[in-house]
Amino acid sequence: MKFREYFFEYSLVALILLVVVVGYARFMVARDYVVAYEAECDAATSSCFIGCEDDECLSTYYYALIEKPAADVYAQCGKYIADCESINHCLPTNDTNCVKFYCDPDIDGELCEIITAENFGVVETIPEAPSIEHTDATTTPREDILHL
Amino acid sequence: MICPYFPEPTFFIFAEGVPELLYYSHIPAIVVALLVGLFVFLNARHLLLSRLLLVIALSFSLWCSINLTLWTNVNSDSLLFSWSFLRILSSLISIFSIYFIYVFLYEKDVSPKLKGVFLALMLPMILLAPTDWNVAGFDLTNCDAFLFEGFWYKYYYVSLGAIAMIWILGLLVHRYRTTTADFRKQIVYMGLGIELFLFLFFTLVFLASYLIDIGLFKDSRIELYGLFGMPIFMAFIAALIVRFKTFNVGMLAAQALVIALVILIASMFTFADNIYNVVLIGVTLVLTGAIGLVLIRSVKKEVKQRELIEKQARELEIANAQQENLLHFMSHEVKGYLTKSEAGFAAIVEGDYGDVSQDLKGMAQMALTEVRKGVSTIMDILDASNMKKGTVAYKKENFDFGKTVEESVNDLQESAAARGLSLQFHPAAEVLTINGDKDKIARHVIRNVIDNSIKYTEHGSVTITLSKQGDLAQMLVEDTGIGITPEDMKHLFTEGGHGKDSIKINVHSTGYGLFIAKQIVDAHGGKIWAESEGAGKGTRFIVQFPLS
Repeated sequence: MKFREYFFEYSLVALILLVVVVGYARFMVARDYVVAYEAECDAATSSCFIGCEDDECLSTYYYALIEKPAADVYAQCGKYIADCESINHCLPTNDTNCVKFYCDPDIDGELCEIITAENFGVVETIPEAPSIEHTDATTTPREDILHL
Repeated sequence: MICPYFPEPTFFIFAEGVPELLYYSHIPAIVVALLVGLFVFLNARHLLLSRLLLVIALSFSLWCSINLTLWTNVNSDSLLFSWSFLRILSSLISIFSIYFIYVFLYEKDVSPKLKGVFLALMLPMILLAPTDWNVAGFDLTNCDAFLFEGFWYKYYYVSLGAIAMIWILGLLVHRYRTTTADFRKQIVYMGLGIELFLFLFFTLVFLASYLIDIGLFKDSRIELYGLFGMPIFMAFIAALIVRFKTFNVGMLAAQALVIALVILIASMFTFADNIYNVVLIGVTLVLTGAIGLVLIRSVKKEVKQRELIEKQARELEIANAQQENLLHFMSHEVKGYLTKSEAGFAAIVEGDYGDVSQDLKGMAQMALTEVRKGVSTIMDILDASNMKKGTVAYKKENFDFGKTVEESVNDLQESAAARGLSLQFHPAAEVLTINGDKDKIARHVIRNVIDNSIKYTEHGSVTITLSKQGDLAQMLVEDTGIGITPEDMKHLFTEGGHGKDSIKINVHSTGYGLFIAKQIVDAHGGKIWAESEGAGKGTRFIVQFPLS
């Protein structure tokens, strides 16, 4: 096969293979990505997000949002995170790039709401003051929406 | 990391809590794409078009398989790795669809420049796939990565889909305008198939993601409907193969239908919810498959037989043409020799070589008569051959049909008298003018028919009656001869047609006379036929020509 004649095909295959290898190395080996998770939140002491346990929102729960590097989560909790306490906090010593978001009515006002089938979109603010725990001083609050 | 709120799948892709349509939309689409793609490729490996179709089919199948695992699996590492690769496959589908349509329409490969453009369009999707531009993280709560998808990357791959649809539409319209009517039908089939596929695939899959992003929709199930575009596209491909033998591949409609039916029934397994349904579907599938096989075999046999008959007909046609040419050639050559002999004998009879003995003169006269009969026979055969080939030219003019018939009757009086027959002529009350080749009508029609009656009448009379029948001039030749049996009647006006008894009466008959007469009458818009009560009961020949 002449290389020039099949340049398109060879280039495409080579690039795709390269990307697959890089992708595998990043996600499967190095685990170089961030995980987002609903961590525990005590509504009595913190400003928490309110989540619905069902579509009709008959039962609710409180949570704070945590973003941690996956590699750190693996190191702390392994594959199964459900019973791992470390996932609920940004550990000062072990977590280098962890952010925990609490609900801020001024900044995240519309996120601090009870979402039901009837009042979808209606805002009900939480009175407590907001607070953010993070181990990286440059981290800023998230602006995108987590869908329930 | 395992998503905590979702069950782990069994056998890699089967999980609880997934939409019912998930397996029905993915698995049949994968099967159909691979079946058609591989069938075409394996039957036409040398064609670039079949290879491109295979690339599209494989990309789509891989995309569907990965998407299925994204719905059912709960390991964040593998999900993200798969997620990063998914958009590359989408871009492959877009670009290779354009490539495929181009090759289909113009039957040639694209230029290296265009390949460069294709590569440039795909480059951002490929190079940025494992980076944060594509996907930066994973949402363990919802077990997906929608939250971390790169905005520009996502819209770029959707734009590639839109570019593909518009580009393909432009190519189709341009080619439709400049090509033959036959190929236009193929363009419509292929265009509809691929545009529907791209539209459903990109629009619904993108729409699902977009509507969830803006909070209008919670349910991403709408994307599942987008996958039905592939079976639709493959149905169009199958129709093209059956009707137009596109990809130079042949497939019977029966085969395509049976396969489609089997896939349809098998896909019902994906939503069978109890053992009874599974068993019923299984039984239906086996029965359909068995009956389908029998049907395909029987249809294949019939098609084979039909093809064999067509092949034999073609070979027969060739053989006939060759035989005709040989006959023509030989007749021509023999005629040449006889004509020279005729000249020689005529010269002796006419005294060109001085006085000769009476015996010699008599022999020469007899030889001249026989040679002339031979030449006439050869001429008949040649004329018949020319008429069959359609290479006879007629010199048409208006002439008095009645007068021409009378002249022929007068010429044949001697011949009739020699056989002891009475030759009677009843002219028409008015002048019958027809338009035609006077010489050929006189020699091959009028004379031939009357002469025929004389030769096949042993005693009695031959009566020729002219009349006007509406706007037709009619000649009726009635004899008291040997008659014609119903069996002989079938072959009367055919080439070399002889009756069983007629050959005993007239051994010199070539069997071409009435065939030639019919050809000439037909060429002049007339009719000729014979009537007889049977053997020994005489014959009536009727010849009609349109009046001028």
